[in-house]
Amino acid sequence: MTQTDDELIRRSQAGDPTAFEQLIFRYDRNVLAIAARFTQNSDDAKDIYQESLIRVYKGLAGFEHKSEFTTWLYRIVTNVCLTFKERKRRLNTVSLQEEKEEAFSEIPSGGPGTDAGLHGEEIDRRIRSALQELSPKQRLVFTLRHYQEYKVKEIAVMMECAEGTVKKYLFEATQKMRDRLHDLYE
Amino acid sequence: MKNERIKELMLLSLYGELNAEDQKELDDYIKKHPDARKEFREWKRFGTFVSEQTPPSVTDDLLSDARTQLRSALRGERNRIPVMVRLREVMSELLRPAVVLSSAGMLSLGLLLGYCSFAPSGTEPYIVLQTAADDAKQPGKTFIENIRFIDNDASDGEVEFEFNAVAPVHIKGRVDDPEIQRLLTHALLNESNAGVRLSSMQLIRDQAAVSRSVDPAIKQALITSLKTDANPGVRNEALRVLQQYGFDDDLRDALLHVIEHDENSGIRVAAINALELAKMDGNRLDEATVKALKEQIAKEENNYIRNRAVNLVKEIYQ
Repeated sequence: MTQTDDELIRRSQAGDPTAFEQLIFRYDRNVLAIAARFTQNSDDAKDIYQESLIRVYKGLAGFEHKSEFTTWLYRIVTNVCLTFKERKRRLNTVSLQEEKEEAFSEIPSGGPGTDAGLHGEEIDRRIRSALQELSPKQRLVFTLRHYQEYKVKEIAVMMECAEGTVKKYLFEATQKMRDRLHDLYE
Repeated sequence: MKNERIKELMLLSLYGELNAEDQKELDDYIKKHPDARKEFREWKRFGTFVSEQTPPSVTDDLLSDARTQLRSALRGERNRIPVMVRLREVMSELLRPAVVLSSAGMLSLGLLLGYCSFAPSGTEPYIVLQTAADDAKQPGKTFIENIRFIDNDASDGEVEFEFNAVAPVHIKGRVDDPEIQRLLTHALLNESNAGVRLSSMQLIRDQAAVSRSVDPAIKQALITSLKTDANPGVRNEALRVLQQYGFDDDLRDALLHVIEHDENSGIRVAAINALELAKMDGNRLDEATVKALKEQIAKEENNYIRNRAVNLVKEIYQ
């Protein structure tokens, strides 16, 4: 029978490593998806994924079931996303330009090299470029709402801020994206 | 109505988060205000455009890669925590008089400095420096190795270092003892030395040969090893032990994962062999298995493996 999150958490807290894996493997694809869409770079996405889940591992002993496990998990993920660039900048001396170029060319957009494919790739590149120009909070809110389809209320819980704040970031992000991409859909 | 309020309503309407009452409020407003209507149409066109662009999905390969790296990092974390616990124990031991320390050469001096910094005032400890090897000979003794200075500048009266505190632990017990099995499972997943992981695996295999009862935690650990262990020898051994436990959906899924993802062609062949054997033993291989094999046939670069997979599919249909 499938065990509940709570049961797996208790087993993990008792030191069972397989329970921890079972628990996080229920959600880790989504964690990686959030990270990938936020960073647009598979290596950075894997770094965020790993950092987030290591924090979950370290913090699980103190998890008191006051909130849903997923709420706590995604709070950690969003927090790691938002602080990722800063930590990376401290650790590396990679130039911002280099980083930007690498980011845009990293995750393949698929599609054959036909005219339609090339056009699709161009649109994809423009969207990524526009996303990179958003602030980290704007980008995170936009990707969580647009690509992960979380409600504003859920994003507010994840980011531990007021719904109004999320709406503000979402509005700013959507407005900026509109301005940068309007020639593609008009 | 305030401009800010209209913006908020448009935004929420775009994302489908307006309740009926607010939607009506927005509809009424834009009916009366052509500028707002035009603006809202723009928002909706943008919304349609963005939602038509399929974002790149997380591939199984990327996820598998991320999981492998995570497991390696978790292994490091699991090993680190006991060291910190042991470090505290050893530090308290160091603060007692007549302590025997093991260290060598120049590092001993640093350790002495560190000790002096941490020692409570009024005590006059007696410290004997001897080699780690001598100390290790004494059963039950904790010995210290691999001292690493984090801050060796003693000008401010403090130094900081870390070291490995190692104590031999002797355990004797039956291989079917749950505690021993737990220890073996832990070694399987966390031990950094592949030889130790392999030895643990072999003990589990010996036990599996005697008893067919399967501890779910051990089985899960074996599947994890089969899928992700960095050492092909360990993965191969995991496959053999799992075969001893018998064929089921978990093993089938693990074998298909190996056929698709394992970089080592020998392990992929072993996984196909295992599926063949399962078929010969009368186990039914379902459509999902056939589908997975066909997908692999389409992308497998190794001719031999591709042919074996083709033959297996034919056998399943017979």
